[in-house]
Amino acid sequence: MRPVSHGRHTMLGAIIAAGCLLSGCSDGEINSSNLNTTRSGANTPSANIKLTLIEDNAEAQRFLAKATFGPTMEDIDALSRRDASEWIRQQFTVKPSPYLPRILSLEAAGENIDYRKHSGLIWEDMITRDDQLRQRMTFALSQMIVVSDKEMYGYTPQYAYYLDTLQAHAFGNYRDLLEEITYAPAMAKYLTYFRNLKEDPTTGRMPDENYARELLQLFTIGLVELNMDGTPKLANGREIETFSNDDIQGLARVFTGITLKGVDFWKGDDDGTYSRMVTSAEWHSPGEKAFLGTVIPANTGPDETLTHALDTIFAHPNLAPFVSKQLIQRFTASDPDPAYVERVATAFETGLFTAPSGIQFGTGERGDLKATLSAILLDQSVHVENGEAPSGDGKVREPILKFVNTLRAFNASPVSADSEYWLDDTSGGFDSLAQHPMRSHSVFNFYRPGFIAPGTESGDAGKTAPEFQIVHTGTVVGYLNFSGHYIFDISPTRDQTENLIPDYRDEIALAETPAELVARLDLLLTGNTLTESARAEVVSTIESIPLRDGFEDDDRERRVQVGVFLITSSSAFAVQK
Amino acid sequence: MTKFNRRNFLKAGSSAGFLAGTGALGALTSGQAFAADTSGYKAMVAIFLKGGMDHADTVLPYDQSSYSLLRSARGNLFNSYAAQGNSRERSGMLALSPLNSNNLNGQQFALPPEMPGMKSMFDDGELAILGNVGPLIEPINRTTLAEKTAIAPPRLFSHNDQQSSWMALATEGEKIGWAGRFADIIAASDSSLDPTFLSISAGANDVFLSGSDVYPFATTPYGAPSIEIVRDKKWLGHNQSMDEARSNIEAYLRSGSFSETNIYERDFTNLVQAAIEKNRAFNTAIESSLSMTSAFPNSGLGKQLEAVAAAINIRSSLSTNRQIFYVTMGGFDTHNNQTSTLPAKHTEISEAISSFRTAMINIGAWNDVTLFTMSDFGRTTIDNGDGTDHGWGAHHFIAGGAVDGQKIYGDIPPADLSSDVFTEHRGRLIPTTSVEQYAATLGSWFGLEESELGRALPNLENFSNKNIGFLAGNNA
Repeated sequence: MRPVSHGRHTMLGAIIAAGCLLSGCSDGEINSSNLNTTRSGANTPSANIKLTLIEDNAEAQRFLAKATFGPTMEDIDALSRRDASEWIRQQFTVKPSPYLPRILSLEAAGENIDYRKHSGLIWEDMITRDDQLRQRMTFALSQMIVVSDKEMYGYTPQYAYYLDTLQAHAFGNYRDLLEEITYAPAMAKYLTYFRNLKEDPTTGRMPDENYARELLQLFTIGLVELNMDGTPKLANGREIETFSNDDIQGLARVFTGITLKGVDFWKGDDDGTYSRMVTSAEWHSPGEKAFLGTVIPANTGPDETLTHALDTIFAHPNLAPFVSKQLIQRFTASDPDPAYVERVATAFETGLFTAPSGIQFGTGERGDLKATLSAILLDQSVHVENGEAPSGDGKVREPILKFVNTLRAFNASPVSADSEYWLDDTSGGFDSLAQHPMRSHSVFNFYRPGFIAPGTESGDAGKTAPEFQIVHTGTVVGYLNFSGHYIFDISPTRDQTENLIPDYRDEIALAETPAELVARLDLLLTGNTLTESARAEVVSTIESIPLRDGFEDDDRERRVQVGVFLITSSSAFAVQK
Repeated sequence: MTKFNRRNFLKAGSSAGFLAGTGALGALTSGQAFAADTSGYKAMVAIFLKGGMDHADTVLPYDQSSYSLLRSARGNLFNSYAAQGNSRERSGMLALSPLNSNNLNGQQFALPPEMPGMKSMFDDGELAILGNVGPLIEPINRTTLAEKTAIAPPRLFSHNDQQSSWMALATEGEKIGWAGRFADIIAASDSSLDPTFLSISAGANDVFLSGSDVYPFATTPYGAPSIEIVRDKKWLGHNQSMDEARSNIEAYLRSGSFSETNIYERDFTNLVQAAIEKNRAFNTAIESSLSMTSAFPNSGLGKQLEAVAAAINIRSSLSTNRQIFYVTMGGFDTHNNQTSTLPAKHTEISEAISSFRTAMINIGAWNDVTLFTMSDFGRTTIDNGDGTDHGWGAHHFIAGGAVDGQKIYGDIPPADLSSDVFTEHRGRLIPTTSVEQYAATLGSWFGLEESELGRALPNLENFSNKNIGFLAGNNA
């Protein structure tokens, strides 16, 4: 039996207040004394410094849509008139809830540990946990440093260890993350360097090149040299490739002789050991390893070799813009402006970001993810001040974000994902979400960061929109139908188990005043970004549902469900601004 | 040899890769008169094998000399197979008897025992094999590659870029696929043709089918999804007092009134509207046609080919004489465990295509449908212990009633890794036939004229043979 979270909205609110106490601020309208001075009359610094004060409820919603899996009305109220940087600082202090101990205790309780278990926990954490920023960051990292769980059947504890590695380093340093991921059994299996053998001159056998290539191409530096703003460097009008196949063959030798701890290298099959892997000098390539302009001398020990290799890759000037741009795409902008990328990459590079409130994030070490993430969320192009429109085009939200947002907004409970069999696999495009958490088709994620949608206005304008790669005539309707089953509480398990039931009490109270109902839903779900005409259409559609004698309760609920369905179908909900 | 595109390539550089930028092709259909032959019905069905299928473990050498060469180049794999049985022993494989054996330098070939359906189609003259095809800008070999006297395609060995190179003749980021270009030309050639269902995907939303003017539709074996809240009365209740709300909801979803200033919002709204309209039209056609009775295997590829068959079954209702279908199958990136994973993939391919053939024969469409395979790349001839790594050229299948089958086209070089057709390291095949030659042969059968093929396939002119001849009546 899984613990069920009731009333998490109040918990999140309480934690914000607690963070405020720790930082010594007053619990007034504005929660930072630092902020008070910068906002007061004559001492106001130059007018072009934008503060990150959350002005009102709509702005609070829009900030939380970027930084969490979607807010409740209580979350919105709690953040309004507070400072976003303070919220981020508080979120950085919330400890992660590791997966592995939970998986092992389920196993100890006699439960069958299969992929449904870790997948169920992922859903539950996204929907209920208070460490929402870490949840979003873990989800973002899982889309960059991909181990798809569809190839980890039978290895649930190892998969949990991978998730814990992402979670543990979500607010840490990218160099540490790279190292721990490299030694994670799930990654070694997924990218096939588990028991990767040194070259054998007699048979001609060569080391597996898989990890060497994808580590460079997807996790760290990419294929072409980049400027700090993420645009490609050009030489004589042409892009400059970062590595050749010779580099891959050299680097492939690095990732040899890596295996599970406490198990003979050649043991017939592994026993699912779920801890940091170890190296075997015997099976590690003794040869010289030349790549990216560095040479690791022959007969260097395996761990020293790995350190040297990861240091070399980490030092590459592409790292900051490459990682920063993709993280921006996962949080705030589908097609980030180069100047925005450069500001975030600078935070990554320097390991520091100072918020307009004066709060400083980061340790000062290159690769600091606190600095990087706060630079993303507090950037001047994203934060809306005094009703100004943000300068970018925003982010197309992926189906998982939209779906979990819908569940969270109405405190859907109880949350027991693994008894909700539709959530076992939401990869189907025509009848589901076209996306399942941590289950992309390949190491290339659900969509590519450079995807430009053909036949669209944004595509004609050359704007990237990765999330549009999984939007087509089938998935558009598939999403509405799938999500609608939860909005209307008619999922197939409805008659077997109480699960994920939305709490519409506050909305039902407004069912007889559709304009007020729609105003509430517009705030809660889109941060008041529905157009006038859309609002009017939703109101009139709700009004067309009669309140029949004897069925008033049903019909009031129906009005709310239809309102939620229509607004979560809208472009305002699909695109976060 | 004309070097028009070579010069443009050098000049334009950047990510354009094969293409001199997309500007010229973006305007492919505007202001051009096209006259592709759109008479009768014809369909192309592309199967993309994601991950890079190991060509050398799919079309195997059978004569003792070539067999021994391969076996010594990848002893680990053959030993692993041997431990499982005789599937990669000469005695266990399905030997082929090509009609053009006289032109094969004494080489013999076989399919793995998991592909009896493919073998029987080959024997019946309905399946051809095209050897060593891959992305090329111009002819190239080990020497000219090393000396850089011939242009190699960019970003070789990278999955996403080589998938894009196969589908769209340029690295990732290219927005228009070659099938999309064919569809644009077909649509521009015949104004009576409705392009809505010209391109159909039953798999991923990949660039292959995307045109400048024609965009792909997506379907399943059971038709396209419809809006359940409108269709299924249990959502709002069966009472007819809810009918007005149902029609208001549909009107809201179709109206597009909810987009204004944001470019992505406008795009999203248009995508929703188009989906609802197209799905409705497609489902209406399905409902008014006789259903198909053929059985398909319950596999990923089987289900997708069933969706294709269901769409071809209603071809007379869709107002288009030409269709291009796209399906995908994953799991071919066999860096490890190749001998335990690839054979099952072979079985899935063979069974699904065999079922598709039967379905097409049942509805009288087999002679009008050509199915063909593509993949990221082939793989290294030299193994890595229990798998193979990324390569370049590979062998592919073409099947259909119009195929001049039971023949092996292109080249399947023996595994003499010192030969000029392999890269210096690890025995990666350097293609001797380009993707564009492969596409041109299909396009010619599909009805495109030579000039149209030239516009859709910008490097075709760098190759003297523009029709490989695997489609009957189109021998160059």
